Amino acid sequence: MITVIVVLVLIMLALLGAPLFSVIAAGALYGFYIADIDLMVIGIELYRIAETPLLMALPLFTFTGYILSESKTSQRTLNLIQSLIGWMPGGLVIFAFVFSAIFTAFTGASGVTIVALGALLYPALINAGYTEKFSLGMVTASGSLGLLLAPSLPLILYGIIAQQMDLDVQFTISELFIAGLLPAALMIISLSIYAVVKNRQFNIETVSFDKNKLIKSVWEMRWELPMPLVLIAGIYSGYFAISEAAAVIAIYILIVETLIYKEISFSKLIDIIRESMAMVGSILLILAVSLALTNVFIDAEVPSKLFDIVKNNVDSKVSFLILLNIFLLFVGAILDIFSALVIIVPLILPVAISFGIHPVHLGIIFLANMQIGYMTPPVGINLFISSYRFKKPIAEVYKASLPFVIVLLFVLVVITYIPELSLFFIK
Amino acid sequence: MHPGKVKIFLNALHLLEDIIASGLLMIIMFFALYQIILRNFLDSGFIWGDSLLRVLVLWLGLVGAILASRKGKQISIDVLSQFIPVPYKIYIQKLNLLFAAIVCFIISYYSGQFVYLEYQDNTKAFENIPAWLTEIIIPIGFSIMGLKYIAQIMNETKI
Repeated sequence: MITVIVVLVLIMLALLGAPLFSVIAAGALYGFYIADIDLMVIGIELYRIAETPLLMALPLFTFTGYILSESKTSQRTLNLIQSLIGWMPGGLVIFAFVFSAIFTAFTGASGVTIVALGALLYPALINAGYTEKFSLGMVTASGSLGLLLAPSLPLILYGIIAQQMDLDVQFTISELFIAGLLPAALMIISLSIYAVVKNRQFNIETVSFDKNKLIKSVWEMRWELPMPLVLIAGIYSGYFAISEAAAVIAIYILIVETLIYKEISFSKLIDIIRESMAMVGSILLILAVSLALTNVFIDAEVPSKLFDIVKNNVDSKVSFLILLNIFLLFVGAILDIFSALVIIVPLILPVAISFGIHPVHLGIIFLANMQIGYMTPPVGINLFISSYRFKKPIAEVYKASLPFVIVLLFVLVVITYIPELSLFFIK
Repeated sequence: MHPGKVKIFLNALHLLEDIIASGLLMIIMFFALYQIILRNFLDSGFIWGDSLLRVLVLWLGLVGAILASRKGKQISIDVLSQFIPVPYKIYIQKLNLLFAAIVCFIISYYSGQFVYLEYQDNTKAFENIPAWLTEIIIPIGFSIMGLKYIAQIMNETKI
């Protein structure tokens, strides 16, 4: 009875906006208290976060993402997109999807893509003859495209959480990184097909291909373009681990943007460090306390009870997956992605594994759901950012992005029921 | 304390946080790079290098958490507060801060006990580095966070 009241009070506090880490920590402390465990254990639990091998990647990729979004990388990216596409019908949209996805992967899917790249793309799309509604929807949708691509923060975070859980089925972070490639490509292709079909009847301007313009825009971006290649080459050649790749890229981008392009001043750099490390700190904090809460749950056998309930009501893997998708879409609509990852993954991962779902596949399903959650009310963050950035009412943004959401839902179904898309290289 | 003095104290603290966060981040980046160079080109390296890096990331994370407690930068769900009439919002805000402060102090107290135990047992983290030294940031970090929340409750007159 008391436990029920405590849980309700904590949920109430969370909904009223108390810092999430304090609510989760209070839950963990209460759990230790009723299980008669010395509260000193909270020190051990929090220190455990330092034993995660992947942890270093988190601050370094976040830092890189903040630097990229504060410099003129987005302008150079747009120039490159425009010079690549002139000749091709629908080309602007297709390349916009591709580069938005890469940009999002590197900047951590925090809405930066809409603010930095989308803000430049939007007028470019309208100039090229696309309707306002279509352009708005497209820019909003591209804000979370790339969530499944390395090194996006949520993807890394999922890896960290799963690594901490001591699962029967093990996987490496590289496997998780490769797993996102085909599903992300499928999303980009489907959205591109929709965009091209949808805009057939409009008179979209095409210009003849200009080799010099292309060379110029590639040349302007010559320092930033190698970055994804460094990541891929470094990791797969075995010269450095992913956390070390993060260090190499962070140093490289720091030098490129401050010393070569000279777009980040010293005082700006301090601002960037402060902002990005505050972000890292708040993620690490809820990650650490939720790992403690997970242990409380495991001691109280919550996952196995949860599994029994699910098992009694769901008889097949397929119906479990259907329920999982509905549940996750709902979660994605009310929780932001970091809260959802630390709270939900430890609970559903053991259940999913016992239904025979590979943890890598679950991660992809989870993030694909969250990606759509970015665009669904009430807390779809992309809707708010677009509404704010392009000064449109939220309802209009929602209507504009709805067709894109439908396309992504279709892809989600494909990703969920064809595990081979995510796992083709593991078996 | 006088509100003005609180402000001066907070400003000094903020500057210190900026310096420590920047320093830690740079040390982590360049030490990791140094390790890669040693391993791939000189066939050597520090065995304890990875352990050191992880401890530094823990420290950076907690300093970052302190940075985030500055002005509502902590991740929160916050779906109900938009329905609360403006005059009451300040009280909800203070209630949230007070709750967070209490939790921080509890964590600080108990993790402090844990660190003290490790000090008494003379546990080693790696090489000759005592474990308590690597863990001490946990009680310190949460104390500072708690104090900052209290300072915000005292300072905040409007949202």
